[in-house]
Amino acid sequence: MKNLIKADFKKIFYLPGNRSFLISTICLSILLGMIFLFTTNVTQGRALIELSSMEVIDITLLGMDVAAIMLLIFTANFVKKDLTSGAVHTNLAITPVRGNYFLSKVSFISILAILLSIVLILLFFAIDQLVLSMNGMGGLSIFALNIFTKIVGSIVMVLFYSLLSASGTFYLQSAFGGAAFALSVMFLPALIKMFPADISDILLPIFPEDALSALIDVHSADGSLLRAILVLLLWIIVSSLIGQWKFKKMDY
Amino acid sequence: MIKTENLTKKFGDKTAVDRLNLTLQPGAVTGFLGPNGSGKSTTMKMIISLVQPTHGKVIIDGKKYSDFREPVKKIGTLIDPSTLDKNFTAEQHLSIIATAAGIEKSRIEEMLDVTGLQSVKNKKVKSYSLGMKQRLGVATALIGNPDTIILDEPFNGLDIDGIKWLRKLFRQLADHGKAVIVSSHLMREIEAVADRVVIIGQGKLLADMTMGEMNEKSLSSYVYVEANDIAKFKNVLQKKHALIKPHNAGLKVRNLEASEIGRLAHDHQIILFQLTKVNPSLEDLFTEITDGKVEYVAKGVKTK
Ligand SMILES: Nc1ncnc2c1ncn2[C@@H]1O[C@H](COP(=O)(O)OP(=O)(O)O)[C@@H](O)[C@H]1O
Ligand SMILES: [Mg+2]
Repeated sequence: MKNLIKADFKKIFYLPGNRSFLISTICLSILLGMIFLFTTNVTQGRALIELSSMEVIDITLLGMDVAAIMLLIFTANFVKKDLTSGAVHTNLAITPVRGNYFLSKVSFISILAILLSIVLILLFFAIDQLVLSMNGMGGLSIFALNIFTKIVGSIVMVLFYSLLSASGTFYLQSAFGGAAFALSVMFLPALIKMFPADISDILLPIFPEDALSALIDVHSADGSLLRAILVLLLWIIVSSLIGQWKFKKMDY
Repeated sequence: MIKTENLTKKFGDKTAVDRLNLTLQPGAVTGFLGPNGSGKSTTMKMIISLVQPTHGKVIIDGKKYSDFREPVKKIGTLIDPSTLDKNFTAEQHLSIIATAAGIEKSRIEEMLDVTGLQSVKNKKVKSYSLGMKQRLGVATALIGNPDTIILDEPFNGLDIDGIKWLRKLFRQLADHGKAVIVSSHLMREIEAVADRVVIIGQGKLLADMTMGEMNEKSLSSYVYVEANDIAKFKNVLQKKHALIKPHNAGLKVRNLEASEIGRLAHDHQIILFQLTKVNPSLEDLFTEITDGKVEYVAKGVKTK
């Protein structure tokens, strides 16, 4: 298993295409985080200096949504590439137990998602500190409880959609399908909110968006935190079981 | 030792492989022959669990391929000459495989030497010819130093030098006690190197014999006759226990010498238009076997 994960990292290291996609993910996320931060006049009707340091962090962390979208696309492509004919024969000759193959891919994606998120968060943090101190606003500490949960929540979000995308790709055997699946889970809640309340109230809690915001927003840290974790775990477990089930009975 | 037991694969209602019983021995090159679409690739894929059999099973030293902890050290395969990603160089491709399979780094250089890719190891695979890709595929199959090597149509795209090189390599591997299984749809690619030939058609086993047996097969030579009264002549020949198959305007006659056939024609006042002794090439024999005209299985052939 460790060997397979190492081999996957080599693929990133060797392929300029993979590398530049990940670098653009970082750049684009930062860029959008910054755009959100410097357009608060328009979006929130308030100037940057009127915001609390907590709000500043909140706004820049919107850049993590961009990272989540980019990484789920990366995941779908990465998983699919190794399932295309030619590659799949070699890969499954090395790892014929499909469950192990699935697990190694998912582990690799998880490690990548977590590493990438941590790098991004550190960058966001550094930038926010700089912006805050330049404007003579209060400083931030990563280890303040409310900030720390926000950070963990953002990492979980990036990880969550990547894993959905991986399972979707295994199930649909297509990069487009896998990414589309994860993206629809991400964006359907926005659509559902347009339905009458009695429908959307039933549907929304099923989708992970609510759960993810519960994780990110610390004030709701009562019973809803546990429920949020449960919803997310269910999504991950069910989708990966279905993806694996399909993968195990495929002929290549 | 690899054994298939009643190995069967159906795709929908099409039977690609049909109750195949095979034993693949070490120390020999086995040619796995059959026309396109006869089920060679599917059989090879079932051996390494890429395709799940509908019925039957493959047993490798008493186990399944997926039961081996390091399967590429047991069986090396070349199913498809394309690599993990065409943007890798040969060296990167082999390095990733070595890492994933837990194989020593030194094998990468060895394989580049063996396959003659040393000089292009830093070029991207997308710039390779089909022959070079086949060489890299062979390197991939051999990198784990397996006891059994299974290659699907490895001669495709190779030039004469490549074909000679590959034959020599197979010979060496077999002489080192390894089982080498090579598929092809062309007899001539195989006949110079195989110790044994397995022929399948429409997923069924049609022949399984040593190259020696194949060469000697008495049924392979026949006498072709054309005569004025074919029906009458057929009766005459059949009384002499000849094996007869209609062919074009005449008959293919086996089990009777040409001189005997001539004398019989004379005795029965039949006029012969043609009397030719034919020694078919292995290629002809192969065609005949796969056309379903001759059944060669279990005729003095051990399938133990
Ligand atoms: N994945 C598949 N789905 C449906 N039919 C298939 C599949 N793979 C192979 N076949 C069919 O099975 C038969 C045997 O194919 P194959 O094993 O590739 O033959 P060969 O390698 O001898 O040319 C062919 O008729 C082919 O069309
Ligand atoms: Mg084939």
